[in-house]
Amino acid sequence: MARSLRWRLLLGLLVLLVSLWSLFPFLWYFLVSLTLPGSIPRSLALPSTLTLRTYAAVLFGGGYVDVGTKVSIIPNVINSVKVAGMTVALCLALSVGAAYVFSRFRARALRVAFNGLLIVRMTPGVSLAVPIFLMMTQYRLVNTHVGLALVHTLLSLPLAIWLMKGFFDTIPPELEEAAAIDGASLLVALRRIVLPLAAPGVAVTACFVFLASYVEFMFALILSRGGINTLPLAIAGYKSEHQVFYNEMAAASFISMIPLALFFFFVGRSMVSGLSFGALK
Amino acid sequence: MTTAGMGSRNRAVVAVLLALPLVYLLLVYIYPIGQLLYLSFRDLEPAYDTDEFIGLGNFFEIFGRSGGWGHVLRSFLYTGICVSASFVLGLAFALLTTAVEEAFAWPLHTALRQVIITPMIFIPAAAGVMWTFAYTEHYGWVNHLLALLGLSTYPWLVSSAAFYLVMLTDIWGWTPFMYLILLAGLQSLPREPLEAARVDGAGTWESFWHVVLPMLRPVILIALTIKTLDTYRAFDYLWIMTQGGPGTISTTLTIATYKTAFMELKLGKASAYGLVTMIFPLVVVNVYLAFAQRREA
Repeated sequence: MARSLRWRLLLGLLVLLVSLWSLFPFLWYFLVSLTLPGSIPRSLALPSTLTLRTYAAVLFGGGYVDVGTKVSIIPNVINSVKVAGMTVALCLALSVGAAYVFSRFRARALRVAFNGLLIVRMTPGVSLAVPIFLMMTQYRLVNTHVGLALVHTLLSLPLAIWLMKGFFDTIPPELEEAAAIDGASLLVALRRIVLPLAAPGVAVTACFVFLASYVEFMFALILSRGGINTLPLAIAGYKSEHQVFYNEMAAASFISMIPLALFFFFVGRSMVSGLSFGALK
Repeated sequence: MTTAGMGSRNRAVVAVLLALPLVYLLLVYIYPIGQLLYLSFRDLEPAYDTDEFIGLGNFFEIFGRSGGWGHVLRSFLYTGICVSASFVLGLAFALLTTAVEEAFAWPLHTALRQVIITPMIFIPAAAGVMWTFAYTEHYGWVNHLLALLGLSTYPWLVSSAAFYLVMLTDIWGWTPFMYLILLAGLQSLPREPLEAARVDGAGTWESFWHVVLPMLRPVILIALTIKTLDTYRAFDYLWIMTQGGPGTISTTLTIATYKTAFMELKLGKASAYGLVTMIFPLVVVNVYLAFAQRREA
């Protein structure tokens, strides 16, 4: 039965339907990004001319198009990369050592702390919005990259610890035990033996932390006064009460997708499930 | 290794390694939570220079005049519908992928998998504006499609259907997540029980219902728990597509908290909202931990 023609036809039909559901909104939006500002297809028919000039305008500012905002998103890309980069640095600095301890030692207090991370991870960000906003105001960190990175670190810290603990767990402790007999301290063992072996895992964790910061919207909205507008803010910003720049919005959306696309198609496919299992094990 | 079996130097190293995230969390998590508790009992409106203790006043206002129960209800409605729909779709897509893998010799299933996870590569803000655009009256493809079918067009996001249309976006965006988890679960199932069921004469449906689903239960439980808590605190799609409107029909607890804080600038009341919003995740996490501990014991 598994290979009968009728079964295969049915499956083919279902594949077609699923593809429509996943891809159609996406493809239509892609077409919009390939038309000039101000010219949006008024029906489902294919636009007569396709051009990359909207992309050029979105990336490099005016000159490539006659109408539209003519504002480049490069400053937003820089803001996003700065904030996400700082978040990765901070998050890894805080979590590598703790993940190692969680991986190698057993104690009741550690178990409690590990569960506590679950509560941190599941706290709705919006609940913390007011106190965090007040704190950032008090320490003059509103509208600074560091301020936003400090908050984004909170969102990723539990996950970073879980993920890296998972990677450290796969490295047999015998090597470190041998090093300990030779008199190496824990810190030396971590740096010289465990970290080099777990480097791919640490890199994947870094990618996750980076992307989590890269896509984050709410705290960026709260903490930016225009000076640190990240990409999600820039994309949402093409829509104001008075005017919507649809074509630019579409082009910017597709540009912003690049890091995620690279990650999912080359690294992340198998990781997403590992990610969630690590989180609740 | 236990904590007893190491030298004093290493004990200091362990303490420092753990202290790093702990100190950070004390400053950026524990302290704000304390402040949240403190502020929720106060009337704090910097714009009017008010800052005074009002007891449970904020909570009375939320569940009285502000329609707080409505926000709670909408949070659960949003969570319930989005989670169940993306679960059912995710499971269906995962089953389809395995069926396609069995039925076709060439790797159609690999292409199918890439197609299904495509929504995931959009950042939520971009998916939000994309769907907002799709529903606009003169430009969006939803209305183009309706016009093609001879139906009348409409600005859907200012209609009473707006809340459900945001849910649809959420379902579109998050089904791939469910799909990947469930697919990984399906592919890691042992083959023997299924073959045994087939030998015993069980049909496709029976073996799915009585063999596959029970074996998949731990995976399903984890996927549903994570997805429930993430959906409950959803902000991006709702804010970008409707800002809680029209009126308050898509105002969930998250949106209400945000609006009270950063549009009405009532920081005390917003803290009370924030506290109310935290209750459900706390309950879920603790129930989950209790279950996990019982399983270990």
